[in-house]
Amino acid sequence: MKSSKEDLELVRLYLDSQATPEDVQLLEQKMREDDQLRKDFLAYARLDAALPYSITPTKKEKNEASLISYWPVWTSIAAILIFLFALNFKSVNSDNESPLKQAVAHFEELDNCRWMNPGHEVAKGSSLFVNDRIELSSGVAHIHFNTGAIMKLRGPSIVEVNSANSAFLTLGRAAVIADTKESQGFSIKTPSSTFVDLGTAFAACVGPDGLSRLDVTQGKVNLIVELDHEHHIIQAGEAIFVEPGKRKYLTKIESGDESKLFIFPTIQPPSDHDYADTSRGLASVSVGKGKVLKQPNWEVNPLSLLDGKGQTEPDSPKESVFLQRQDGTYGNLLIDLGQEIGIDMINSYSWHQHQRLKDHKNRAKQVFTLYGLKDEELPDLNLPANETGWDRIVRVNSDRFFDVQEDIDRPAQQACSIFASKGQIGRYRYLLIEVHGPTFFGEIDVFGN
Amino acid sequence: MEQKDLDNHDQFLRLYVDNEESLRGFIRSLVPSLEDAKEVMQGTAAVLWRKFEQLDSPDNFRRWAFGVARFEALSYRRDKARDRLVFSEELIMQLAKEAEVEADLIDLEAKALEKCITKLPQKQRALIQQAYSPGTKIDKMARRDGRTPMSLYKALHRIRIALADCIREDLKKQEGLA
Repeated sequence: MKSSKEDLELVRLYLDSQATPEDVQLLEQKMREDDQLRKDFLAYARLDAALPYSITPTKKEKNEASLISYWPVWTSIAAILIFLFALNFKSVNSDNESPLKQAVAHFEELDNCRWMNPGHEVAKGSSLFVNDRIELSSGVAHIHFNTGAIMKLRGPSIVEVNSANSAFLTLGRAAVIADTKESQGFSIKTPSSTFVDLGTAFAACVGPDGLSRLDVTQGKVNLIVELDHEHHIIQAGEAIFVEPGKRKYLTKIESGDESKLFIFPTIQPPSDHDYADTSRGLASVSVGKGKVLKQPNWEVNPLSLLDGKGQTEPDSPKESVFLQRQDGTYGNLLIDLGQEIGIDMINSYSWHQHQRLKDHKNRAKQVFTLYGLKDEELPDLNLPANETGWDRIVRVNSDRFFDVQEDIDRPAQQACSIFASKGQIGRYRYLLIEVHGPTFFGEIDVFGN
Repeated sequence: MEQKDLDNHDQFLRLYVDNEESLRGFIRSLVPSLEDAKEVMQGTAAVLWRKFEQLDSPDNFRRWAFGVARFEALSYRRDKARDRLVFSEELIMQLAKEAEVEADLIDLEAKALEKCITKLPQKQRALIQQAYSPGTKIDKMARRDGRTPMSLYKALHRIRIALADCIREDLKKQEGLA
């Protein structure tokens, strides 16, 4: 690098997040005037971005062993697992052969499989090695791990084999059955979390934006978002979303018993004991953008969202806060908590079932993005929240969660519970619910202090 | 999922995977830390996927993705602006323009980096491997190794400079061979 030592030190301070405001100002001033310094800055930044994916010590061996394809991404994460696996392997094998050259899984059934790289020939029985990357374009590939775990990978998906009992799902959907003694503890790592099998069957799904989803069909799964975070045991029948990002937010969505008691498997019914409840007089709700449905003889006060109860009937517009669609959007709801508080959990409830038309329960679905803002001046609520300084907390789409293909599939009563994998969601005064669907909201509870 | 959606998803994944490395390098040039870069990368991927149907031709994916990434980085910068630890929008725009021109180098640099890492002395290689492993906190790592965080940052800086110089030499050689 041709820049001076002092200038490169400033670059380092900035890129290592060690710089003071004065350092940043000085570096900016220098970079504006110095073409070479900008060039060196860009080269340094590219190197810093590439290093996490280039540091595995075994690339040569992996290239020799790789059957499907090699790609450096995620290998930094895999490196730890490889190391652990290597230690374990050494202890039970005396021939000292590299664990990377040992097949740890193989393909069984291949249903209409198409691969992203058409040049790859994969057949039933083909072996899989540590760090092999499988890029399935469409179809279903059954992968049998040596421990007995079976993974059904549905295209389009990208998965990397980490060991005989673990894999990294970068994108797509994988269902796992781990019902042998050796396969207990089978884990799927995703960009936002790790799912460790404690029972028999679960499915993992990762979207292109890193949003992970876990569905437990039998037994239970230990959800580890970060090693030092609380572990969450997810039981059979439960499902959960994990948002990617620095703060990990979890979203649970459940269908209710369709009674006015709003009973859900694990999410509590609407509460009048939450911080925002009207009985405490601390919080308020208003429509930031958009219009609440009203008729000549009645109109709904948005404050009813904080009254501690949901609707009393399945199709009750008078008891529901429903934003009408205008110019292709629904608008947003603003909750003002009166002061900045630490928020532990936010629950939202909806209910809609037409009396005669069984499949008309469109307004039960919850589709929204939740944002938070500290105690500061409110931005213009007519502008998109993601451009006006709001922190995005989570995105919710209950139709996607319940995999609604036909209207009849949609649960008529739904609850969504949002919380952080460790500690609180954050400290906010304002919450903004950017509504993306025709939801009959009955209640929103905000727990915190 | 309908066939059209499957094909779309399929095509998106191919293009995204092909361009992920250069996109990551580009974004890293525009935000102050690796963590910030991860956040912006995820935001960018979400927008790219949501708006994928607006892409006029797969040949333009990289340019389009860089445009989206630039916008996401600027929006991220606005959120962080109050802590005065970020560059001005003008400088970010200038860096984005220059980084886009240099993005073609990223694939060559990645290959050169592989070679350069193997040339590092074992101790330095181990240090960089540890520092860049997921979840590593430099402060904790320094404490564990019985040194100050500053001395560790400086040691890593020296290794990165050595790697950057090695990459530059390698690219120069390749240019000479071409």
